[in-house]
Amino acid sequence: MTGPPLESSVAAFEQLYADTYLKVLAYARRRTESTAEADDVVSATFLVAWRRLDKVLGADHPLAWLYAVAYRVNLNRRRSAARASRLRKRVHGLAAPVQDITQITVEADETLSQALQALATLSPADQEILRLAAFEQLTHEEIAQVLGIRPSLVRGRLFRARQRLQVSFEQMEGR
Amino acid sequence: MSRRGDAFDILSSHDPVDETRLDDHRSPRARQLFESIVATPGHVATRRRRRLRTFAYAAIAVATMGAAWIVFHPISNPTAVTCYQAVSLDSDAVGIASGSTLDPSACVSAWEDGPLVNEEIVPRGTVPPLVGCVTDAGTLAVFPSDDPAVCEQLGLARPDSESIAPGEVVGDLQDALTDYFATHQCVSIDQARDAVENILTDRGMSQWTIETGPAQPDRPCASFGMDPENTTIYLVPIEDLGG
Repeated sequence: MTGPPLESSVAAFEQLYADTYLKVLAYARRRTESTAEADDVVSATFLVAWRRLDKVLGADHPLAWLYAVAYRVNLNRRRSAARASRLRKRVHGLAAPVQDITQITVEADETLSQALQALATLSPADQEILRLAAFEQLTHEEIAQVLGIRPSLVRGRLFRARQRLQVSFEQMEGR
Repeated sequence: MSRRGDAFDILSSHDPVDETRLDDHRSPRARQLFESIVATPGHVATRRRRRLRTFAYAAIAVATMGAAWIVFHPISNPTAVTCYQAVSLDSDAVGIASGSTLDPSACVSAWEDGPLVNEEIVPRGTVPPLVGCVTDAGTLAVFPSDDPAVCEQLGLARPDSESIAPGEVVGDLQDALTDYFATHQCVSIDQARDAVENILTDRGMSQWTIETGPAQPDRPCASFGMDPENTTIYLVPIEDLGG
C-alpha cells in the first residue's frame, strides 16, 4: 500500500466533512435554483475532495479549496443546463422554468429582493466575487484562492463589482 | 448613493440562505452522502462497485491462504486473476477464476468475504483500493493499493487499455478529467491539451485523440467533452467566469 491507510483517510475526510458540509451546502443553495441541484453540487464537490484528499487537506484554506471546486462544478452544471435550455427552445419553443431559491426566500423583503435582482444583472464574474465577499464573507486571500487569481487583484475587482452593483441597484430604485 | 443604502451592505447583512435552517453533516441525507463517498476509495473502487453489480463473474476462491497459483494464459484470453494480500509478490494470495472479466474487481469478494485480510490497510471485510498489474505470464495480479505505479515497483507491467473492460477505462478516464477540470481555474486550451495527453498516457490510452475548438479571445479557458465511441476528447473554449 503506497498511500495512507484507508482508515486514517476516512477519519480525515470525516473531519473535513463535519467542518465544512454546512458551508458548502449553503454555498450551493445560494447559487442554484433548487435543493436538488444544490445537492448535486455538494455531492460532486465532496467526491472530488475525497479523490483529492491530500490536496484539500494540504490547502491553506480547505474551505476555500472546496468552494473553488464547487464553483467550477456549478459552472459546468449551468453550462449543461444552458445547452439543454437552448435545445428545448429549438424543439418546443419554450425556455425551462426558472425558480430562483433566493427569490423565494426573500420575497417579503423588497429592498433585499431588489439588491439581489441588481446582483443578477451583473456578469457572472462580478456576481461570484460579490457573493463570496457578501455571503460567504471570505477574506481577499480566500477569494483569490476560490477564483484562482492573485490576492492583489481581489481588492480592485471587488471595488469595481460593488460600483456596478450599486449603479444597477439605483436604476431599479428609479423604476 | 441610494436613499436605501449601499447594495453590497444590504446583501452582506441579509444572507438569503439561513445556514441555521439547513440540515448539517449529521442529518440522514448528509450521512448517506458521506457513506456513499467513502465507499468509493479512489478511481478503481468507484468503478469496481458498479462492475460488481453488473458482472456475474464466476469467482472460485481458493480456500487455503498462501496458496498462490498462476495460470499461464495470454492476457487476451484471461482465465485467472491472482489477488495479493499486500503489495508484494511474496505476500499471501488467492487465485480467482475470472470467467470473461479481467479486472481488479474480480478480487472484491476475496476481500469482502475472505480469505484476504490485511488489517494494516483496511478493517476485516473491507475492500481496499485495488490495482491490477500484468505478470510475465500474462495474467492479472491485483494488489491492495491506489497507486498504479506499484506495477513498475514490482517489475510488472500495467494492463493495456484493451485488457480492461471498455466501460471501466472510460469511467476512470472521465473521473480523471472531471477531477482535473474541477480543481484547476481557467486552464488554456494548450495547457488542457498537455494535461489530457498526460492523463491518457498514464492510462495507456495513447490511441485516443484530442480535438480542440477554435481559439476565441473572449473564451480563454478550456472545458472538455468525451466521445468514447470514437475515442476522442474534445477541448472546447469557454469564457473565464472568474476573470
